[in-house]
Amino acid sequence: MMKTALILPIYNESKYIGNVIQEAKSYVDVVIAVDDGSQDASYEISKKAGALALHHTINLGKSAALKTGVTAALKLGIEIIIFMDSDGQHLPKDLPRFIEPIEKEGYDMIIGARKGGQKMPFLRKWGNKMLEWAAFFLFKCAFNDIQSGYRAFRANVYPQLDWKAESYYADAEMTIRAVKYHLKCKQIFIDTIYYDDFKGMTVVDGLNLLFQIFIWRFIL
Amino acid sequence: MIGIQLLCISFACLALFFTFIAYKRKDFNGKEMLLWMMIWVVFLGIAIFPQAVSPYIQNMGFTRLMDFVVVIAFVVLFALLIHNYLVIKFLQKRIEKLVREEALKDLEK
Repeated sequence: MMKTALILPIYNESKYIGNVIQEAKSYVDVVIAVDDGSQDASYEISKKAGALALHHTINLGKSAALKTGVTAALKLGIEIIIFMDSDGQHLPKDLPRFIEPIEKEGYDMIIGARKGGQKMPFLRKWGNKMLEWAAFFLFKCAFNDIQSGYRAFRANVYPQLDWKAESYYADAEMTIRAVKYHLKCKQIFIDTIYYDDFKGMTVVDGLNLLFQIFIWRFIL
Repeated sequence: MIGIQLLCISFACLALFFTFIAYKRKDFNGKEMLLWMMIWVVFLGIAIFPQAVSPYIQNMGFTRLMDFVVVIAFVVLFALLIHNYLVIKFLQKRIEKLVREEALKDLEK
């Protein structure tokens, strides 16, 4: 059995984080909760719920929180690292579906693609489609949800995935880097629950990411 | 002396004064103070004796001193823009590094 860690980047998620950690604990060896300068009690709740809680004194964005989590996981000798959003939109019961293909089938990275059914807000759904097409035409990246926050990877491929992008763009950069470095990747479909339409990426973020994907074509 | 000259002279004097104050408050070291003083003294000189630089400006293809000043102003503004952008990026990276290192101290406890 490989040693697994779930990394949760947290920013003002006191409402959901306790339950997410409680549920996830049974599927992984360590839950690393990185509180990214929250103004609410997310950090304290994460600690109480049994996560290894780390705290950024100021808000640095999701990308930096993920990096802090990965550094901690590597120091703990973790072999499989999983990222999941902490707002309750991803289901911890899916965790074994991310771990098994890496352990048993030798995959380097598993990407959890959101199904994009009726539950996904309209703008998000079409924004995702546009990003997906851009990634396909520019990188021959055939994944349905390039910027999904629910993903797992083998810790030893981190040097290839080590993203430079800030904020929410880190997930998309990881996917594109995985394609560029020919990592063995698999996509699995996951259910998502949207509790809050105003969290996560905005339309402007989506357009910025689209521009960023074009830039990556030349610099990555 | 025309209005624009008076405006430039006043501006240069004010800039010299603020450069000196920054030096006294130790915001500028000796080198920085000298550099900025030189820039403002040259600016002051051109504002008082614009005809002194006219031959050089015409050699560069500018017909009027004002055109030259506008072009230089844009060059300086863009240089400052890039410089400020780089400094902000550098500071951002340092802050991120510090905050992340601080967070990881919890791991060692």
